[in-house]
Amino acid sequence: MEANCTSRLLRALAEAHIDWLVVVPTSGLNAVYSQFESRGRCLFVTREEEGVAVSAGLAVAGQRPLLLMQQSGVGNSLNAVFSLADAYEIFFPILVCDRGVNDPNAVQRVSSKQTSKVLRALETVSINFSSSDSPRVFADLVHSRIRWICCGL
Amino acid sequence: MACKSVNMLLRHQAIEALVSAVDETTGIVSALGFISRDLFALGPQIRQRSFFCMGSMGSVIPFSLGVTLAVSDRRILALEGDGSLLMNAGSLVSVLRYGGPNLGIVLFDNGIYESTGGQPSQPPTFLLEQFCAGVGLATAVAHTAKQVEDWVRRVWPQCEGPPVLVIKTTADVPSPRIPSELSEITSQFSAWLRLSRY
Repeated sequence: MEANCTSRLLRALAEAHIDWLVVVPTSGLNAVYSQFESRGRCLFVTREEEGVAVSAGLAVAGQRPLLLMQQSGVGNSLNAVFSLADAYEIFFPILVCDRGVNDPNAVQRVSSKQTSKVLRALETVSINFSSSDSPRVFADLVHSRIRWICCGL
Repeated sequence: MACKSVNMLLRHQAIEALVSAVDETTGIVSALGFISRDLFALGPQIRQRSFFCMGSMGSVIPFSLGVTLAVSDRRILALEGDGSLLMNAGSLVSVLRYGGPNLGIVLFDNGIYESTGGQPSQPPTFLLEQFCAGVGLATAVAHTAKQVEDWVRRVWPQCEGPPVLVIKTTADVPSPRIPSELSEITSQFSAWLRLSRY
């Protein structure tokens, strides 16, 4: 992700009052992880499904986590989203970072193409952090309790 | 050579021993299937401070980790089955990495997927307590109610990190299904977490 997009993403998280980052890391977002790590609020989990449960626990206890994953992790997360987060009405947003259908890695190209079908079914809202108003847009989505949000890398 | 224990508690006996030993300021998160049913059956005083999972197999431990990170002055007891732990075994590593002594993990080790008819969940040479200790978590084993109570009252309070208790259990008659609305479970547990801090 370009540096100006990363800085807008950080502003977006601040405007949405996100206080925990739960993540299986994707490349290009070290600046985001670092900022939350410096506050002791970045949790690197071993699997996206686990990240859903950690985020749900934080949210039930009154915190405002964001679960961040690469599009290839969406499949790993679904059962916990459906049977814990959705079923128990525990809200936290999930930001899916899509490597895209033009990624140099052939597996990621297929993953992006297939996952986009799933994201459409989940009524995912896309956001573009190259846009200057993206921090406000993101904050509005979180305030509206939109769970699935997708951006490009 | 690994050796399976022959001394085992009935599941409901293990849960009763845990609940009798834990104090009212400790919250409980329980796994899907018979574990949550048995816990729910113990009555309203337990229900108000418990989160009953009825799905999301393998989520109890990471969910409890999240809660304990948010409310570091509150103890949470996570009740998980051996089969669902193995579905999300990496969560033990996250517990090692981020967990504190306010998170107590209890694993009901009966070696089967009891809720679906008793299919084996482990090979006979597998010892769950070795697996947990191998991750680096302080792990104890209980075969009796007294050992369970002793772990809750004496061992857990002295641990510097999140401890694990593996209780050897055997198949048991299940309690009735939980009739509560799922959102009601969430709101009740969330309210208890908020109220008990002030």
